[in-house]
Amino acid sequence: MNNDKELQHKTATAIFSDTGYPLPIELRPIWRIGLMCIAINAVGTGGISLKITKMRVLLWMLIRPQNWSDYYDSLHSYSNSVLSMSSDKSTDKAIELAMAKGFLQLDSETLTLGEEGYKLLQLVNDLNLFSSEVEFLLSIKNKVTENYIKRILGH
Amino acid sequence: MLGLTLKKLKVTSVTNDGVYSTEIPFYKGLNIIRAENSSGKSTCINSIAYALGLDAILGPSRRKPFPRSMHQFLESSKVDATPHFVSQSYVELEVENASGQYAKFKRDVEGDKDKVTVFDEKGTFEDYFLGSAGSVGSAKSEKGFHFWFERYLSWNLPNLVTHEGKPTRLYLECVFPLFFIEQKRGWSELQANTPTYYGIKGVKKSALEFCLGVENYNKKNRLAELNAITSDIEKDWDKIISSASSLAEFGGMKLQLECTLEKESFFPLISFLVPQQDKFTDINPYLSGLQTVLTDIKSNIKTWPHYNEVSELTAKKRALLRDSDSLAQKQEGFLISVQKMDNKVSNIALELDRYRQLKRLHDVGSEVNFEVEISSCPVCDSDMYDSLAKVPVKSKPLTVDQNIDYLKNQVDFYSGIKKRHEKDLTKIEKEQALLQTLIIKIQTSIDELKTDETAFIELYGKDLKRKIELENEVNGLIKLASKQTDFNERAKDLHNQWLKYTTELKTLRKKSTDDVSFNILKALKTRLIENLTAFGYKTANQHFLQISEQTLRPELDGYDIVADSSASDYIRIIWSYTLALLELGISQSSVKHGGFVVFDEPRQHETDKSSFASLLDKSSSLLDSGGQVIVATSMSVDELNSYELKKANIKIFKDGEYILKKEVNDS
Repeated sequence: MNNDKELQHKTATAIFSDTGYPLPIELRPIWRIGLMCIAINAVGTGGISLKITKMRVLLWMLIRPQNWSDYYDSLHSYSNSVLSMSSDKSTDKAIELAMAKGFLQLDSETLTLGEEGYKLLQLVNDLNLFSSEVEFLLSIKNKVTENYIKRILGH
Repeated sequence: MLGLTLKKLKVTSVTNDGVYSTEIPFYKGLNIIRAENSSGKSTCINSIAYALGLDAILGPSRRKPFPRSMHQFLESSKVDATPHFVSQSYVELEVENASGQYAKFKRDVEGDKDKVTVFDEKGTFEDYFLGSAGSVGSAKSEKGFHFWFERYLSWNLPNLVTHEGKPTRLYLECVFPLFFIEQKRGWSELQANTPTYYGIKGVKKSALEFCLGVENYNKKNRLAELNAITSDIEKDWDKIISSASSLAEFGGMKLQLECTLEKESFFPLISFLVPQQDKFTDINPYLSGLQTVLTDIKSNIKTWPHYNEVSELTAKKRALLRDSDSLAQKQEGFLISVQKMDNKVSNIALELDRYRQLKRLHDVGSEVNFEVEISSCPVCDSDMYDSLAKVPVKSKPLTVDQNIDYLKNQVDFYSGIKKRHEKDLTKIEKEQALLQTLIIKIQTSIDELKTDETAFIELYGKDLKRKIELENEVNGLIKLASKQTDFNERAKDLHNQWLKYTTELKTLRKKSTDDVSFNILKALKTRLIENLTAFGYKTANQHFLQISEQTLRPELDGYDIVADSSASDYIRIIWSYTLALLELGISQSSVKHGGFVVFDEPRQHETDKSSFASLLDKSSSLLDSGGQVIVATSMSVDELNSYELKKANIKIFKDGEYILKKEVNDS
């Protein structure tokens, strides 16, 4: 191919810098905490609390926007594929961080929004952030039942 | 030449009652043994053949050519029927050969039959075997009696062939039936008891040829060889004709044969004629004519002028199609790449969009003092650099702003590649369209030329068709003509051979009337006619009798004489022929005769008395010349006396007595 030939004749220079490396957004702590808050708000009981197990499943889905249509089809029984997931240490880390910083509280396996959490939700609403995530959560809200979670996690 | 002179016969049977025996002396000329039937006459006659190991000439059923008095029991006389059991019996024959050498042969009847003991005059003896010892017969082994006997007779029996073509030789058993006329079958025809089990080809004639000394085995073998060769040549000649005939039929030709083997000079045998309208032409001139026509057609034939053009265009079209294929492959590659870039860009754009949301959160959060960046752990206070993942020591993650810039660059980079590939695709599509146009254009030109070619073939194709037809015909005819030459060469070769061998054959056949055998046969005929005249032959004029060159036996008007003779005349023929052979043996040194003839009951079929008297007269006249005639008869003593035979040796056994008599012990 012509392009390959052109590349062959160009001299490449290696540059070393300490700029750092790009980070996928789901590894940013505040992004995951934000996702947890909107999950409690959209799916949780009274919009304020959510079982920690359900949180883990929802977060697994939310950070994979490329697969949303598959998850939707599966939950609405349009396809036979069942969600397969494993443990995500980043989620646990984010939960612990959120609890430490007052975004969430943990009460016997149930996460409840904390003061900081409400503030963050307020900001999210004001800035109209996470709109597609919220839209996805609302579309599957009724299908993500306790039984569904048990089936996925094998409890 | 006479082989033997019989001197004395002794037959002995040893019983529990003592030794019984008889002795019969023989002299030159006529010897008569007279005894009534069933008294042992034939035992004596058969003993002569038996002592010489020639049991075979006594007839095929004579495995035991003797009555029970020789091997079971005997009675001392016809009056006393007390049986005396035989424990041993044997015959002894004393002889002399042509050079006067004495010998006595002794052979057991009851005892060891397969042995002949030969005594010389001093009484020393040696045993010789009979039959066969292993694979070698008595005639071929130095310890065989017949081997010894043949040399004693100074004979040299010839080598012959069997019916299967294997080499063999003439045996003594085949010769002696000429001299020994046994009572039972001997009178049925000449050489009646010649054994056939050796499978010798032409055995009776060979025995006669040997006896008369007219044998020329080299010539005879050569004649047989030449006959076989000429017959093979004829077969090969016919094979050529039949092959040529099938070939002619297959090729739609007429076959003309212009020569035969008998023609003096050779003309080509095979001619293939080609049918042409209503006549036939010889293949070679017809072939030359066709070749001339073919050359004319070839020189006038027009070829279509655009053959090269079409092939060039076709080659060009093929090259363009190859280019088009390789462009299509490139196009597919770029399309896949553009698709990949598209996916990549949309994924990065999604990430970028989320980062932008995060940045707004950062920006607005800091305005309202909301802590959105978590740089250290709230529990252990260790650095977290705003990351949930573990951060390596040497390099840190980008800040949100930096990450946004990075993602923007990424989008630009991949979009750039995508655009460039899209540009390449457009270029390829253009090239492809150009190629397709070119291909269509070339195909149109080819189609036009093909139409032109079809029109050309319609116009000039007849000549081409004719050319191909002629070429096929010429090729076929060339093959046939070469076959014709082959056939004629082979035929010429065969004709030459035929000429050579038939000339030799003619010369050989001509010679056969000039040589010595001619005189012998003439003498045999004279003697035979003389004898027949003397013995009162009546059936036909004996002067018309001939000795057949084919069989050496008497024939009348081309037929064997037995067919035309009355029974009593046939007996006369046997007397005459047998005696004529003996007479020739006396007078001609080249004729090899046993030296004696035996007639057992020669007066068969009530041959009239005068004829029989003549036979006895003739036989007794041989006294001075050396031949021996031994006659066994049962006629009455009175009748025998009535013949008034003065020169005969007559041994009379009286009626009622056996020939074997108890020996009187001198002591």
